[in-house]
Amino acid sequence: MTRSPSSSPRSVAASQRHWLELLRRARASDEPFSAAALYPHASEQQRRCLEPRLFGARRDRLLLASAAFVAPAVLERLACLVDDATQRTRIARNPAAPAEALTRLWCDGARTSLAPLLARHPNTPRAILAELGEAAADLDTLCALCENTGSSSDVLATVEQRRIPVLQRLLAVNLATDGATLMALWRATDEEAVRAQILLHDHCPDTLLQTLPASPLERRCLARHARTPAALLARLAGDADVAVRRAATANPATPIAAVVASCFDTDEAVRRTVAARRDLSVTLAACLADDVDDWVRRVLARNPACPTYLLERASADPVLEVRRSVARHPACPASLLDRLSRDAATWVQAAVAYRDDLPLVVLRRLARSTDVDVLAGVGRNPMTSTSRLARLAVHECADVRRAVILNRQTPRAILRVLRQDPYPLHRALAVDHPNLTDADRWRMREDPDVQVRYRVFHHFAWRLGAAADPVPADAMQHEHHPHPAQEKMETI
Amino acid sequence: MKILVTIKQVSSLDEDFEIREDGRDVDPDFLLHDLNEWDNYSLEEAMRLKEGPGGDGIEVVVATVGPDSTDEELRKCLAKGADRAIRVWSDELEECDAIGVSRVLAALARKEAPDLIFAGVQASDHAFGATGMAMAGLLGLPHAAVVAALEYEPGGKTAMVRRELEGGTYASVRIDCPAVLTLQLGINTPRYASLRGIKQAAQRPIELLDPASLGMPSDEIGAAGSLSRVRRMYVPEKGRAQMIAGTPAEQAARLAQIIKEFRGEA
Repeated sequence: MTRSPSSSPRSVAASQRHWLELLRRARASDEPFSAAALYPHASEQQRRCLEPRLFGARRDRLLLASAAFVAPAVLERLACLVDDATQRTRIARNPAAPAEALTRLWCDGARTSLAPLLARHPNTPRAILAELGEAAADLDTLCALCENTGSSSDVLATVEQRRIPVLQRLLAVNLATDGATLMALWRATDEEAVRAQILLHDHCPDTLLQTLPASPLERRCLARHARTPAALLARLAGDADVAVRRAATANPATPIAAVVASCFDTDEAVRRTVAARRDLSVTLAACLADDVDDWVRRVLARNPACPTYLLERASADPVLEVRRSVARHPACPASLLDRLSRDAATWVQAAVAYRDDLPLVVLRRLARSTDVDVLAGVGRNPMTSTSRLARLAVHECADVRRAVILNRQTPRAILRVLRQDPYPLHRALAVDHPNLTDADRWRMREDPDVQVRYRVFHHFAWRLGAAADPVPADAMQHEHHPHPAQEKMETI
Repeated sequence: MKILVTIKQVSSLDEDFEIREDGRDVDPDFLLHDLNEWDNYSLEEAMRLKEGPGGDGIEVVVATVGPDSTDEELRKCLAKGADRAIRVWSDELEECDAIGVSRVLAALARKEAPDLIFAGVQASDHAFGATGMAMAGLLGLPHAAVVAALEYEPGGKTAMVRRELEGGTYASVRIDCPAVLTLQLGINTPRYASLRGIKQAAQRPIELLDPASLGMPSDEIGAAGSLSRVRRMYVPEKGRAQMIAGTPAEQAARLAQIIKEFRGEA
């Protein structure tokens, strides 16, 4: 979708008219969120007009300070206006708070009271984190620094040099900790929990990955590491400790030849792990196909490495979850899908209904079901006919109607019906559907639900506020998705 | 036939909040308002009877005791299909406890003369769980609390209710009507209001009454008619619980040290 679809004089005039109407509505609204949606895209003068509505009442400032979905520009301005400790605390805790807002809080003399929150916030500027790393005296702040995904390796190295035992494991967990710091930690402690975490770390020095540790915890972490030598992994796959065997078996770097014995492991969790391996050979798959543990058979039936002839056998398994797994296998043949679509269990039929590669005749049969799980799958299926979607769009079950909204092929005419759905979440989802036109969305600007209105205002602010917005387009793209998924730290 | 559904606008709190200057309630800046969750089910049960067999003549009346901000909750009920909405308020009612509210609702019930009165088992904010049953006592009507299922033919002289008891047991009770029932969560599946219903509800009148117009004597209104008074609201001081940080070995060592301290050995 382009930001400015047309630049004809009539279109520009309409855009300006719509933008001004949104500004009027936001200022007159009984909640601050509509104004918050427009604020980042408004001109300086328009922002000044919106600010009384946004920040005039303490109640609204409190609401905005803790709203994680508002744009960073709103929180940045709010940080300049806050007048009490609760509002500052809420901003410092808000994951959407930008670096500028956090710097403002830091400079406003809230260093002591907010230090642990600023030390924990991933958007806190590195200079502040570095200052905290060198000067912070309390353990809470130092712990927060070690747990912060935004802490840089030099800040973490500074903290490590303080030699505080309780921080060692946290430092070993942080993704940014570099190899030198990890080695320093290794030398500073013989605590197995810390050493195990070091062995799990992506930056773990190669030298530490060459020897077999004595403790099962450390061996388990070594078995999970991608750079552990294959020979060592092969030994770990036969370890006496079940958790170690499971970890080694799950590691793609462990040669498949080394996990043959794991197919016959006495522990079913190890066998399940083997069954999930993408490089499973046909022979090993056959060994697992008749496993007494149905979870092993389930995992195998979903594994893309499972050959068709074993899927055939699994499709007659007495356990319905195994049959369902067959229906979810990426290469499940059409003949099996046809059979599973007639399965006695509707839960199995539902798994078939969600497949995009379904033969039309099967899809039509499933569409005649009365089960809501099956119908939800049909509603979500991009091959479902428009007439069927139209019927499902007025189904009494909200799950079925929601499936139709989530179907990216649902045509505009049906979305216009769903735009009126009683469930506010459905209307909010409909706003973002690519087949809904801006004319349709514009008619949703008076929706009674604040969440729906916010989405509509946010959409049009992005579209219409271009002329008033000094922010470059690439930065705007970033603001449109203010919370990119953060990498998860891996812990034992 | 008429069903009176009593509702309440409840407050919820964010993680951090402040107590009002007089120390008797939370600062209103920190309160978020909504319709009490139980009341959604009460209204739905009334609507179920109205829309079911023989329900054509049923009038569903929703009522609340509260300031003008509670109109928002009454309009939600109108949007879902209630026929009338009544709000009772005067400044004296500011200091009401659950019994004081029950007196007002009982006076309203005498005026409206409903065949059934539905209330939620409790409100999610103050959780007295008293208003419905106190109202029944004041009216001298048969009552059943924590109702998980209701069988009633409109116009009938009795109703069968299934009451939820302790330990996962139920009691089936036949009750004479008119009666007061407090309804439990899960008795039905509450509906969402349609957009058309919401728009229409915004234009519909809400009847505003005060205690005097209900014929209530002054010694039953507000604080005078209440049996309790909030003296102080506060956050209790944090206890002695503490998180023990560190590796499992460090945690175990610290725990052992704490145990020794308790025993007087350290």
